[in-house]
Amino acid sequence: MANVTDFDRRWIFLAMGVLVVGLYTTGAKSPAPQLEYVQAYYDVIEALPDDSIVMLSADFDPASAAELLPMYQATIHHLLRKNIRVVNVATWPAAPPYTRNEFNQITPQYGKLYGTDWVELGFLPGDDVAMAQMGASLHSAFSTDSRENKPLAELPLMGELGDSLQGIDLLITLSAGYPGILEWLAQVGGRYNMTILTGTTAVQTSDLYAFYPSQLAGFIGGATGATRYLELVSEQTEAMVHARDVNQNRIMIQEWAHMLILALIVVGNVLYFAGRGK
Amino acid sequence: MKREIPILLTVLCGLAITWSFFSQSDVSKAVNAELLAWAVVFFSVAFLLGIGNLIRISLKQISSGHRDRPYKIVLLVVLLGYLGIGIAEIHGWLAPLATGTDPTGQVIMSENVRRDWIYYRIFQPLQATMFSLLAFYIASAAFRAFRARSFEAVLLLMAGAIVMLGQVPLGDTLTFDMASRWQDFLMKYINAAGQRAIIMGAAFGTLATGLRIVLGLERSYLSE
Amino acid sequence: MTFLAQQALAERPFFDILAVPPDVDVVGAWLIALFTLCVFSFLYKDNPFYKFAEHVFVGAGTAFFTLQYYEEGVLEPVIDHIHRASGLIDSGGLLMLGGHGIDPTLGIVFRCIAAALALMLLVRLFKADSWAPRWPLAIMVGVYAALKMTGETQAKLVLPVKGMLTPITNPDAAAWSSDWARVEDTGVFFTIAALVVIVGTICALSHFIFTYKRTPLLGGVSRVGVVVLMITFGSMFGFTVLGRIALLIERVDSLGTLSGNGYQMMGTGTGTLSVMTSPPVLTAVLITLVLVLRKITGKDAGDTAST
Repeated sequence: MANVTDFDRRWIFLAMGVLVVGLYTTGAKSPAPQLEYVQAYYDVIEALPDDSIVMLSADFDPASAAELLPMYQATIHHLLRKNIRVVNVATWPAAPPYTRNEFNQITPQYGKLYGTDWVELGFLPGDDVAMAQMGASLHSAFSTDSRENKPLAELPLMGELGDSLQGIDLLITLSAGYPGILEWLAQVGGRYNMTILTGTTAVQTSDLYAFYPSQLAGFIGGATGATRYLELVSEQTEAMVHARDVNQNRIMIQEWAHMLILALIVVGNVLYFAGRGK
Repeated sequence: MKREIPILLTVLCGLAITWSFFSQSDVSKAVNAELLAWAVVFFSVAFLLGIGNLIRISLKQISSGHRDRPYKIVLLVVLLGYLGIGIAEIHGWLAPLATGTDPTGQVIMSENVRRDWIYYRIFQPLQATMFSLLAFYIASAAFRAFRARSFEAVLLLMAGAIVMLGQVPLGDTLTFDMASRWQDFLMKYINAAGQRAIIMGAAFGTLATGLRIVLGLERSYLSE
Repeated sequence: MTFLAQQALAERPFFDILAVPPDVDVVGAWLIALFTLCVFSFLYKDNPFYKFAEHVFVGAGTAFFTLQYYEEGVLEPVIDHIHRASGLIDSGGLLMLGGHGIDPTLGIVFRCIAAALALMLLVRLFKADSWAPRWPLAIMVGVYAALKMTGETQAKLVLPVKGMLTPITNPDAAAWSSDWARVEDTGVFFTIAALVVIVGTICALSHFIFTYKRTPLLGGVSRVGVVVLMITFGSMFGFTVLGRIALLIERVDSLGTLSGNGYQMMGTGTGTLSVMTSPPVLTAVLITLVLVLRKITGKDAGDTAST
C-alpha cells in the first residue's frame, strides 16, 4: 500500500464489529479489577446510618447510559437496601425518563413509599444555575415534585429536609459531562461543605483524580468501575446479579477490543516508519 | 443607551450574585433566588429560539425543492408530532395513564407515558447508536493517525497503553500484574498533578474573565 | 401466521404504551432495531437509511428537549409560580424566596418582568440585530459569570491548593519494605508520591506562563511540565478508548436482547430460525439488500463513501 492512510478504514470497522459481536455471542465473563476509589464509593454509602437522606442527581443521557445506567441502578439498590431516603433530581433534560423508569421498577422491590422514603423532583434547567438554585433554596428551585405535582411541604421527606441542602447527608451524581460533577463541586461542594460521590463516564474519570479524596469521597469511573461496583452490590442484592454478569461480559469484550486498538497503533506506526524509511 | 443598559444590567446582576456568595442576609438570599430563577427562564426561552430557527430553515428547504426535501419533511413530521403529543400531555389534554401501584396499593398515574414511549423507541436508540459509532472511529484513528513522531507523542501513547492495559484483567495477565500498578501510579500521582494544573489554570482564566464581565470591562457578548 | 410465530409473539404484546425497557413491545423492538441499524449503515457509506435516521433523530431530539425546557423552564417558574403567588395573596401568606418571605404581589411583579424580558429574546427570530435581546442576555451573562467566578475559584483553585498542602512525610509508616507488593505503604513511597504531585503540578502550571520570558530555568521547568501533561493526556486517551468501546458493546447487547425470546417472527429460544427471524437480523438483511441493489443499479452515485 502506497500510504497507510490509503487503507480503506471500513476494514477496520469490520474487524471491530466482528470482534465485538463474536465475543458477545460467547457470553464469557471477566471480573473487574479491584479499584480503590470504587471501594471508597461503596464504603461511604455502607457507612451511612439508616434514614439518612441522600440527593441522587441523574446527569446523563442515552449516549452515556451504557456506562452510567448500571451504576445508577446499583446505587438505587444500594441506597434502598440500606433504608436510606432518596431525593431524586436531574440536571440533564434527557435523564428523567431513566429516573422515572428505574425508581418505578426498583422501589416496589423494597416496599418504599413515595413521599416518605423517596421523592422525585425532576429536571431543573440552567446547568450551573440549577445547581446553585438547589444549593440556595430547594423550595425556590422546585415548588412541586414532578411525580404527583404536590407542593414540597406536603411531602414528609421534603418537610423534614427543609429548604437547604444542609439536611442532605450525601450528594451522589451520575455525571456524563457538562453540567456534572465539576459543576456540583463548584456550586455546591465547597460552598456547603457537602460529602460528594460521583459516577462518571470513562472520558471524565481522569479529571476526578485531582479531586479525590479532598473534595470527592469516592467515585466510579467508566464501565470498569461500574462492573466493580456491581460486583460489590450484588454480594448483598440478588436483583443485581444479572446486571453484574452482563457487565462482566462487557469487560471481557472490552479487554480484547483494547488489544485490537493497541495492535492497530503498533501496526500503524510500524507501517508508517517502514514507509518513511523507503 | 443600547450598549450602556445591557452592561449596567450585567454589572448589577453579577455583583448581586457575588454579594450573595459572601453574605448570609435574607435579602441577599432572596435576590439571589430570584435572579437565578430569571436566568433559568431566559436559558429555557433561548433554547426555544433554536426550534424556531430549525422549523424556519426546514420549511425554506422544503419550499425551495432542496435535494434533502423528503428528509426535511420527515424531520418536521416527527418534530411537530412529538411536540404536539408532549404539549397535550403537559397541559392535561391527554389523560394520564395508570402505570402500576405503589406498596400501599394506590394506583400511580403518570402524564409522561406517551412521551416516554417515543423517547425509548426513537430518541434513545438513535442517540446511543450515534455515539457508539465513535468506537469504530477511534479504532480507525488508532491505525491511521496515532503516530509516535516525537518524544512527547511516545509519552502520550505509552501512558494511554498503560491505562488501556491496566483497566482490564487481561492487561495484568500479559504484564505479570504490573499494568494495574503502573496505571495506579500514573493516575493517582502524575495524572492528578497534570489535571490539577489544567484545572487551576482554567480557574485562573475563569476568574479573570468573570471579573472582567462582572465589572463591565468585557463586552464581546453584546456581539458588536 | 404459524403456530410457532403466534406462540413467540404471544409472549410480547404487539403494542403496549406502558412497556418500558428492557421489556419493550414488538413495535418498539422493530423501531429500536431499525433506527440502530440505520445509523450503523453509515459505517459503510452515507445512504438514505442513515439520512432518514439522522433527520428523525434531529426532529425527535429537538421536540423532546423543547418539551423539557418548556415544562420545567417556562411553565413551572413563570405560570405556576404566578398561580401559587396569587393563591397566597388570597390566603394572606408570604411567598418564600430563598428562605425569605416576601409579599406575593412583589413575587408576581418580578416574575412578570422576567417573562417580559424572556419574550424580548424571541425578537431575535424576526430581527437579527435588534437591541431587545441584549437585556435578558446581559442578565444571563452577569449571573453565569458571577456563579462561575465564585464557585470555580473555590472548587478549582482554593480547595485544590489546600488539598496539596499536606505533609510529605508519613511517620506512621515503615520507612521501606523489601516486599514489592507492600512498597506503596512505605514512608519513602509516600514522600516520593507527594513530591511528584507537588512538583508535577508546579511544573505543569509553569508551562502555561506566557507573559514572562522563557529563561533556561523556566524553560527547563516547563519541559518537565510538558512531560507531566503528555502523560495526563495519554491517560485521558486511554480512558476515552474505554468509554467509546463501552457504548458500542451496549448497542450490540441491545440488539442481542431483541434477537431473543418473544421478538422473533418464527420459533422460540436461540435457534437459528428464531434468531434469523428476529427484528435486528431481518432489518439488517433488508438494509443490506437495498444498499446492494442501489450499488448494482448505480443509484448510490451521490452517496459519500465512508473512507
